[in-house]
Amino acid sequence: MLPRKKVEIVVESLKVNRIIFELEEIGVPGFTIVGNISGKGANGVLDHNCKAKVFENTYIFTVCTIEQADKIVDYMQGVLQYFSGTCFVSDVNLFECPIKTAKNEIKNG
Amino acid sequence: MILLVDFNLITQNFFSPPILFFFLGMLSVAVKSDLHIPNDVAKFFSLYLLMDIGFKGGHELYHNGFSMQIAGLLAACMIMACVTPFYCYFILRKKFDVANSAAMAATFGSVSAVTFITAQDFLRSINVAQGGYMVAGMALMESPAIIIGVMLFQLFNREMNPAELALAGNKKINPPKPNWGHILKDAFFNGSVMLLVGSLVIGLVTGNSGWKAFMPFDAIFKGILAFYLLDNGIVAAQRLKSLKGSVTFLIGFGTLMPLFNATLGILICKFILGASIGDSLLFTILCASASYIAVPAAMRLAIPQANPAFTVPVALSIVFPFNIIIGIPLYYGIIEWLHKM
Repeated sequence: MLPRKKVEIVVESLKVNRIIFELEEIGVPGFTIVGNISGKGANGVLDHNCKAKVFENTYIFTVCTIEQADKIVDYMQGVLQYFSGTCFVSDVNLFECPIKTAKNEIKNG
Repeated sequence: MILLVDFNLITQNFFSPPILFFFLGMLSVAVKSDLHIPNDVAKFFSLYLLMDIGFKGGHELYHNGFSMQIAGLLAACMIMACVTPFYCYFILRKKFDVANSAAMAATFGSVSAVTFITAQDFLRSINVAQGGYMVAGMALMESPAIIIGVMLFQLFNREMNPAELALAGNKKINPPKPNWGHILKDAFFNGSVMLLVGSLVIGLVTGNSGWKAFMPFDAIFKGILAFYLLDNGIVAAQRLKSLKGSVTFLIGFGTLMPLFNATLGILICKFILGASIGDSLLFTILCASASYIAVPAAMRLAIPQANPAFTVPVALSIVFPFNIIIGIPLYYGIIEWLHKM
């Protein structure tokens, strides 16, 4: 089990492409995106029923190192100044399949 | 006499199936019905409508060709799309900050494709000829307002507002600079413009054989328009509930500005372009409509300080219903009256 940080982001769908670009720049090993979500936050109910996508939210999560999580949080502070959404960071333990890990180690020399 | 004609036209328009479906959508929200059109289905309908009118416009261009009068109409479309955001901006500044004024001015400078399609359907229902090239005019009017809106914001937004200063802990930081690459991409290559222009070109180059193959697709147009307006009725009623702030001002602006823009459009068509009744109505409705899809999305990214809770409800819940219910027959009545003079 590897200690890692889980970063969860709920943000306006229009901003997702830019955030994906940033996650890749930071070098996170992967991420999951759940689009077209509904819910209620500080800006009221978001019902994803808008053709302009401006009232639609998307959920993104990634599991990464502490350094990467810090970089994501720094970036999200700027985003959340103008765009509605939220960002959570929590401690998680990452289970890695032993065979997969051994294969990766061999592959990386 | 003119008032009687207008009233008859308004009644006829009001009782057409697409408009009644729009009201059904609004009613379903008012009575809290669970009627819901899945998002992807609604998206498909909007793509269908754009593809159909683009192809139809291309086919008509194939038959009618290009003339100096058409060039004049298209140039007028472009000029109106560039000029409208300027005067809208200065009126809106009386009530709103720079960001919201610029974003809302951009929505009024751009167009609503479904309003245009409803006007085309209205002309077809009363057997009035219309030029397919007006679809090209609509495509031309989609984008300039996005650029003008961002330029207005850049020009007048020198200072951070008190809310932004508080957010930044009273430290003055420069607001984010717009990424012009992204803005130009959103303006000229957004999905609606791509599909509309692409379908127009395909309709033009495939000529009669293309149209023959396309005809079964076009036959369901009216039903799809009614379905799309049902969905628009639901969304418009939902967004109307979210309208906050200067509601009276926004309702006044959302009804008077289309009337003013339509008056300009009618006068340009009559005294400068000498356009036919059908083309005049389509040009007028393009001038009077406001974008509630492409521009609010582009503005949200380019001017994040602007609140979409103003731009979308005004364009979708005030301007759109006003134009399709009262505007279209009213503008038509005035155009027809002017042509008889």
